[in-house]
Amino acid sequence: MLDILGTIGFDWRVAVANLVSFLIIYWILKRYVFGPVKAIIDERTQKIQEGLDKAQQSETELLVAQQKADETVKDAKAEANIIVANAKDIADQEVASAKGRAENEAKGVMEKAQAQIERDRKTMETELFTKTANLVALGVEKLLGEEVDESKDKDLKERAAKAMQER
Amino acid sequence: MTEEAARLIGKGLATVSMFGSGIGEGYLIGKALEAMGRNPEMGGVIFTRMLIGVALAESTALYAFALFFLI
Amino acid sequence: MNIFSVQQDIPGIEPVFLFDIFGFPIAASTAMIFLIILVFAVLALIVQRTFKTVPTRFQNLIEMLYEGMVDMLNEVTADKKRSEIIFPVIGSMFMYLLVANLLGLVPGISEITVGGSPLFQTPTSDFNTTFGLALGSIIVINIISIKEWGIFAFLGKFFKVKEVFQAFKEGIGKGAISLVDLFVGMLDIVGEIAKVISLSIRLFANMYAGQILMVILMGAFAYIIPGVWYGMNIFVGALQAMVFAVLVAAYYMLAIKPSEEGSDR
Repeated sequence: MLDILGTIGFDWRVAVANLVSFLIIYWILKRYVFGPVKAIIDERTQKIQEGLDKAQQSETELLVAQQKADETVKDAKAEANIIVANAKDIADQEVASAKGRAENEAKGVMEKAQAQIERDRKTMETELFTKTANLVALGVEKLLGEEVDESKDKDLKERAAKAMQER
Repeated sequence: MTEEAARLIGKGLATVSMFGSGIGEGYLIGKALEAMGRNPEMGGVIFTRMLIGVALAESTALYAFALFFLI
Repeated sequence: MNIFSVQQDIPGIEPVFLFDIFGFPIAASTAMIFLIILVFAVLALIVQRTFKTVPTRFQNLIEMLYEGMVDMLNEVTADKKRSEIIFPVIGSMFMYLLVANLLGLVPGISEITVGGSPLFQTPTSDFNTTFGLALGSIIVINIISIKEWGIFAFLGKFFKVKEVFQAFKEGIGKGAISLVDLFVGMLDIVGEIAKVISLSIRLFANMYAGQILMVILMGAFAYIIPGVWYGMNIFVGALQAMVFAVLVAAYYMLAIKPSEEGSDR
């Protein structure tokens, strides 16, 4: 067997030497190349993973913050709406009360004015009656041609006034 | 016939085996190309495997080559 | 003799012995391996000194190579844990063979001569290198296989005596078939030897044929055509390095216990 291989140049000493040399290469590569390269690649992969995780996390945080902001804005809007509604109510009430007051006042003024007018009318009427009665009495006196005394005069006037009032 | 002449004839005969290797390689590459044509997205994987296959098929011829020196 | 051809001697198939160290011969291929060791030592130094988390251009190249090897191995083993265990061996085998195949193609290296014979010879074009490597890897793989299966189960893979007894209990016909299995199992021993031979001769013959054809082409027409073959040599060198490493990984996967189905992939 080894004789046959010998014809293509087999020599066990060279084979062993070359195999041992390969083992040295294997040791060098394993110890000083593959180990560090693997460590570096692993480290980089880990770093990239960490970065990605961080990015993801911050994204989620951003989303949460945005949601919070949205909620706050919504709350504020609702509150504002309530406040506006309240203000409107109050304003309505105020307006209503002001109206009422104004109406009342106007009514009061009107009533007063009416009362005044009434009073004036009455006084004027009475005055008119008195004057007319006086005039009638004067006419009657003149007609009768006699001096009517004090009590009669008064009595006359009253009768005249009464008669006019009755009419 | 001398021994040397017989050896030379043997060497010549050993080279004949390269014929089979050529057929094998051609068949292999043809089939690989067919497969690549069918789904091109697998092209890279098929190509590397084809290369390994070609190397293996070629080794038959190279055994003959070694035999050429053994005779 | 004309200007279109460069006549060279076809390199011999025998190892070229340069000198003896304590009676131990140092061949030209061994000298070349020392050069390769130097190359890797420099690489190791560079890795130790300059490699950082943020890569330089050279570091990118090395990392690309590294990850390519890992991917290739994962494809062969289809088992991440396994490939992590054997990666240093397969990876260094690949890188060693790659550099060994390609360093000999660097112009000028084969021109350095000591006492009339070239100082450096491509290690893989010396049969001893490839044979030693193949034999070593197959022996190691078998040792791993014994560790994995236990000595009796390991021998049982080759001598299927137990199966023969079981088959004869079931019936004569099955027993006769199992006898065939017994011989086929014994043939696996030859198969193990054939693995060594095929691995070593494949690599050796590829590189040696490349050199010889180069010399022949240079003798025929020294321009343009050898250039094409030169490119082919680079391609074949890289390819054969990959094939050797992948095949060793595949033999390893055949030797160990198959992993539980569905554990990976």
